[in-house]
Amino acid sequence: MNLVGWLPVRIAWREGGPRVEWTLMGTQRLLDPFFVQTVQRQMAKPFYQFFRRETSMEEMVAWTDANPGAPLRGMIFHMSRCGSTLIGQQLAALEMNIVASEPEPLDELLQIEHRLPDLPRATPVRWLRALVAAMGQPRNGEQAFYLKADCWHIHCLDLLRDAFPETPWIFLYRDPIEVMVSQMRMPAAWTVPSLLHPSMLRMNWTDWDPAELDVYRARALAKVCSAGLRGAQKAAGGLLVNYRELPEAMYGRLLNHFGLREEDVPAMRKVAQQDAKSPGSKFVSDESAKQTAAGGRLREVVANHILEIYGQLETERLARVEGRGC
Amino acid sequence: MLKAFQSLPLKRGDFEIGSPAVNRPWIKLPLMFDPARLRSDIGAISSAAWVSHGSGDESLGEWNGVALRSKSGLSEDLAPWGAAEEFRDTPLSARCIQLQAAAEALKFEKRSVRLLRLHAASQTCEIRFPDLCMTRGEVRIHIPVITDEDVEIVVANRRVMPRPGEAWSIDFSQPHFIHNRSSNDCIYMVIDGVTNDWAIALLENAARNAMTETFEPAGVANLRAFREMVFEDAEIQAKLLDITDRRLFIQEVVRVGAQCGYAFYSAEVESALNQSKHDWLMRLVAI
Repeated sequence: MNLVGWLPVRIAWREGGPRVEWTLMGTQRLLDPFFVQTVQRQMAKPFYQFFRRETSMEEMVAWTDANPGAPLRGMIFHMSRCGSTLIGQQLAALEMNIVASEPEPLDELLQIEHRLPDLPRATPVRWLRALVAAMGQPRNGEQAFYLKADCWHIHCLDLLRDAFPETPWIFLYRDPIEVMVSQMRMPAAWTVPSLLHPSMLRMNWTDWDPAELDVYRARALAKVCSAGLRGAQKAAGGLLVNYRELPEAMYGRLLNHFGLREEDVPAMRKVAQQDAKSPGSKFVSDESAKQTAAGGRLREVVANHILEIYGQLETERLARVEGRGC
Repeated sequence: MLKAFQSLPLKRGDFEIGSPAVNRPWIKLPLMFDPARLRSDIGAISSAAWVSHGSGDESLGEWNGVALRSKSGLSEDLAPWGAAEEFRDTPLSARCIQLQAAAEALKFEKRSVRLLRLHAASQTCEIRFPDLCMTRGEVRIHIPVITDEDVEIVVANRRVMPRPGEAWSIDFSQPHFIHNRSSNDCIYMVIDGVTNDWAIALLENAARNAMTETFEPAGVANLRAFREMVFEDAEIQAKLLDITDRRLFIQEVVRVGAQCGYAFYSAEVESALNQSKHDWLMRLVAI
C-alpha cells in the first residue's frame, strides 16, 4: 500500500472498530486557518468524495513506521478565542512547517480513546503517533510538524505527552471576559452538549441548563484552564502564555520553545498583521471593545466560575517568567 | 470538529443478551459444514443404538435419537437438561469424527449433543420449551445431516427450511413442530450449550446478514477494483481530480474505467458517489 500524498481526514467508527479515511493531498499544504477548511474545499469536488480511501488503524501504523514524517515540534493547547489560530497561521507561514489546526481525526481518535477506557494505553499511543506521522508527511520538503488541538484536548494532555514526551507544548489563555464575550457573540459548537459530549469537557449532561448557557460555557472553560494549569505544574515541556503577550511572545520566548530561528520572525510578523481566522482582512485589536461589551450578568458569571483559575494561571505564569528570566 | 455520541462503540460487557439480534425466532448462521462428510458418520451408528424420543403416541410415527454427549455419558441418554459441567462425551462421539468436529467448531461450552431422527411420514406434536432461549443463557444449534424438501419445520407459524450442512439457531421457546412428509428418514444434529460472547457475536453477525442470499453485481465489483487501482495511479487521478461537474465526473469515471478494462455503468458510479457523500456528512452525527 502506497499512501504517499494521502492525508488522514477522518477516524471513523465502523462495525469492526476504528478505521482511517484518507484524501489525496498531493503537494498541497495545509494553509487554511483550520484543517477542516482545506478538507471541505476538497470534498466539494466529486473526485475527493469518490476516491476517499480507507485503511485500518494498523495499516496506518505500519505505513508510518516506514514513513515517519516530519517530527512533531510543538503542540498548542488553548481556552478558545485567545490567539491560537494566529500562532498556527504564523507557524504555517514558514515553508519548512506543516501545521494541522484542530484536525478532525485527532479529535475523533481522542473521543474513541475516551470511550474505550479498557484500551491498554499503548494502543492509543501507537495510534496517535501514527496519525501525527501521517498528517505530518512532508509534501513540499517540510521539516517540522505543529499540532493545534481543540480547546478540550488539554484534558488529554497526559495521553498526548505519553505519545510525544519530547514535544514542547503551550497552554494559551486570555482574560475570560474577552473569551466569554466572543463565545456569547458566536458560540462554538462545543458549547452545545448534543454537538460535543459533555464528558469530553469533563462536564455532565445535567450541568447544561438552557436558561444558563453562559454558566455551562464558563464552567467548561474553567475546567480547560484548570487542566492547563495542572499540566504546566506537573508535566515538563510546557509554557503558559497569555493572549496579551501575543504576538511578541512568538518572536521571544516561544521562538526557542518551538525550535524556530531569528530569520523566521519577519514572515511571522507579516501574518500577525492579518486577522488569523479571515486571512486577507487586517487584524484589529478588540480587547477594549470586548471589555466594554461585557454586561453585568456576564461579569458575574465570569467572577463566579473562571476568575479564580485565571488568577492562578497568571500567578503561575508570572512566577515562571520572573524565575527563569524569560 | 465535533460529533454527537450517537453510536457508542459496543462493548462486550455492556451487551444485553436480550437484544433484538439474539431474540429472533430463527437465524441461519454464517457457518457451513460439508453435508457428505456429516452423512458419512451416520453409517457408524448401529441401528440398535437409536432410542425412542417420541411422545408415546404411535399415530405420530417414529422419532428417535442418539447422544454424542450426555449427562450420563451414555449414547442412549437423550435428556438435554442440566448444568454444562455435568455433561460428558459418549463413546459414540469418538466414532463420529465429522459430526464431532462440527460440534467443536461451535466455540461455546456444550451441554448435550444429539442426533435426532424423524422417520419417513412421522411428525412431532407442537410444543414449546419456555426455558430454552438465549435470554436464559441457552444456545441451541441445529445442523441438518439428512433432510428433504418435504420435511416441514414450522416455528411460530412460519416454515423454515434448513438444508444439510447449514447451521441454524432456532428459538424453541416458540411453538414448533416438525412433519416429515417425505419417504426418507431425516436426521438433525442438535447441539445445546451455554451462551457466551462467541455465540452472541455469531448470532449478531447472522442477524445482520439475515436476508435472502444476494450477489454483488459485476459492475459494483468492477467499480471497487477500479477505485483500488486509482488510489495508486497518479495519471488517472490527474484526469479526474479537477472535475467539478458531477455529471461529467460520472461520465469520465465510466469512460476511464472502460479504458482500463473495468466495466460498470453510470448508475453504479452515481450510487457509490452518493454513499461516499452520505458517509462523509454522517461523520458529524456519529463517529
